[in-house]
Amino acid sequence: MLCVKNVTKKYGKVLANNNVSFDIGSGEIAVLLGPNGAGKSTIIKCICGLLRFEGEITIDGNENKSLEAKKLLGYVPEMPAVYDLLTVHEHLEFMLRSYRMEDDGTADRLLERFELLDKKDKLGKELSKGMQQKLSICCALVHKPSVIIFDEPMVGLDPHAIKQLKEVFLELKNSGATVLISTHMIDSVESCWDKAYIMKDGEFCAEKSADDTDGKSLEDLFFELTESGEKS
Amino acid sequence: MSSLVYLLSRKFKNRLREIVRRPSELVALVIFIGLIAVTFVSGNSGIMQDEMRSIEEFYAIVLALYAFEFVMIAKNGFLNGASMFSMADVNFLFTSPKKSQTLLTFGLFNQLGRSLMLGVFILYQYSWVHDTYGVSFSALIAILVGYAANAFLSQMLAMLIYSLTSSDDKKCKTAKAVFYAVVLLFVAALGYLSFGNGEDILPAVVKNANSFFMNFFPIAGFLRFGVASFISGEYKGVLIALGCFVLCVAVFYLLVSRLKSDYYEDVLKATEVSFSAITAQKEGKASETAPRNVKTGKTGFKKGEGASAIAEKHKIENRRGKVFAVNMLSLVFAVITIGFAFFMKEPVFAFAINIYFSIFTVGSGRWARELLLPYVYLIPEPPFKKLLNMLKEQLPSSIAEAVITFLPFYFVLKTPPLEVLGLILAKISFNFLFVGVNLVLQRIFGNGGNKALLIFLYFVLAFVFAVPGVAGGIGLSFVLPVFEGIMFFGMALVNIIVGAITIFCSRNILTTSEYNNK
Repeated sequence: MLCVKNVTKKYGKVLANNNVSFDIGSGEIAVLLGPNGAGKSTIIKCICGLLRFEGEITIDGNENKSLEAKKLLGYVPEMPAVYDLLTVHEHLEFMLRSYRMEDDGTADRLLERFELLDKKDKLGKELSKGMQQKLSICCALVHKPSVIIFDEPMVGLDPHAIKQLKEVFLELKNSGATVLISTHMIDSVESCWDKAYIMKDGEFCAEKSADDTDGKSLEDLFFELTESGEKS
Repeated sequence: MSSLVYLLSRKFKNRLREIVRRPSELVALVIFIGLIAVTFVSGNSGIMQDEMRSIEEFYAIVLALYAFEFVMIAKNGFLNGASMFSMADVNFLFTSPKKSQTLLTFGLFNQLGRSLMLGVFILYQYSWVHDTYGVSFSALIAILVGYAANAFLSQMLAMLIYSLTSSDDKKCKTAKAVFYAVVLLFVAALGYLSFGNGEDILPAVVKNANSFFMNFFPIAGFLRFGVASFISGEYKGVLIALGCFVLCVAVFYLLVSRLKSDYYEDVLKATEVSFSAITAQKEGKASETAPRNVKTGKTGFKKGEGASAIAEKHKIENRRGKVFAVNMLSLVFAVITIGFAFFMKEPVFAFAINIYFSIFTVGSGRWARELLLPYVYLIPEPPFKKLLNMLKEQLPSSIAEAVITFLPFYFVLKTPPLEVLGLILAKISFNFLFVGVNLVLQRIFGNGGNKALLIFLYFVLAFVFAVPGVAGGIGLSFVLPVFEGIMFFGMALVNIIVGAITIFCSRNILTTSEYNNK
């Protein structure tokens, strides 16, 4: 469903991503791990068509900047992106209208799930950072995308929202969606991941499949792989 | 070495090191100094006007500038207060075992430097103030120092007001009423004396703005007096102004540090507000200049599907974010333009000033902020369609801005109606053109790069793109001098053509340019 082939991204002389390749199928959850500055957000922005890059990225066979690909994509940015002067509900209405979709009640269901329904008439600027993050997540999900990219989605969320988000990950997986999550909170994806890609200095230093862990937790694998410097 | 001295010296050294290490910073600095040199040289080019305008008129402009600055800064005392500290100061210094008075002195010292930087734009005015009023470069430096002193004292006053009134709503309302009453008293007195005795308005305003009474306008009054005294070589007046400045600093300092030694809480809110604004800017978030209390009004979209949802969203945001059809900044610039027209009695000069302002206002439109959030890039619609919908809001606001600015010319300068229409059309066309310039810059650099350098490039491009319109306008006025102001019609026509070509060439920026929120 999501295919990244030989993607290289440079910011001037700085090599942010070096020949990165991976693919994630339908109904799979891939996690992107790595230290700060490893290039995780950069590859995510490349996938979402927000940055220029060398290489090839396709979403369901469509070039990632094509309208067909954009229709299939949902993106939760690393920093909550909300409009100060739109109400919470208007954000979702805006997304639905932009994607030419009718509201079948999904908007309110998402707001209820993330405890924003009672704040539906509040303006974006009146929300706390955590609530803005919840709203960002709702905006990415409301048009029912089949490929969803989460960049540090847990930051600022309260325990209830984290629990809901974990459930959302599993529901998306069960519905056949393709999910890519970049996170430092490894335990939050422990129960749902299928593939893990560990990045360092702009490239993958390790890849693991959930079937191939020898009973170790993702966190243990991460430290084992990153601290030993193993390339597997 | 005291830790505070160490902090100041390290910050200064690291700033210098950064300039040397980062070529873009160095280039920006060289350009910054180079431009001052260019203005200086062009101002001394020997092309002098036959007749200088009265220097008294210039002093009146200085008073207006200082008074405006004073009101804009000091009124913050009724909102969040003012802070001379950064968030790092709050976190590290406020919790350290240091006397609050020592930290206040440290904050004041920091603020003094910042205030000086605030007024650097004044140096770029050398060329025209020298040509028009014969103002020397040292006089301009004096005006800059006066401007910085004004900012500094206004900031201290805001801090004092907040410190003394924030805990009591009644006190705050009373102080606010007194503050505005004092300002209005001076404005009313100036108006009464100038308009009431049947004299020519302009000379009367100038005469009364320079009267002894206006020296008592809070802070701005004595600072203008000091600057005017310096320019006219009356150093006794400079000493008096200096004395007033020192007295104000001492009184404000004593009031803050003695009456309320625990001022930390009072500066915290302003520091946090300023910190979140800086962070938002660093993170590339759209900074919203919405009023503090927004009236939400009707909620929901009435229409808009696909790309047109962007335009509908802007309508909702504009309804909530603005009091007038134009934003506050444009309104302020409109008032300044009308003021210039009034003083200079010359529509072309006031028009040029306003177009210069447009370079700032166009780039701060809602459409520009849209580029800082990812949604507009992600929406599955053709990029040109999204772009046009994004820019749609610019047209009505440009028309409103042009009408509000130039219609009064008919009354103030008795400019012929056809020329007023030309001014309005030309203004709209320049806004349109500058939107195109913004897009070209976005197309080339995205949102990344050195901000100072990008702003400089934006200015250069704005001037370059304006050349065909100006040339076309002047050309038309020579070829077809059928009525006064035909030049503006020519400008409008050429600008719209150039702007349209530019926008069309940038039609794919929402696909090809980079979204960089760093």
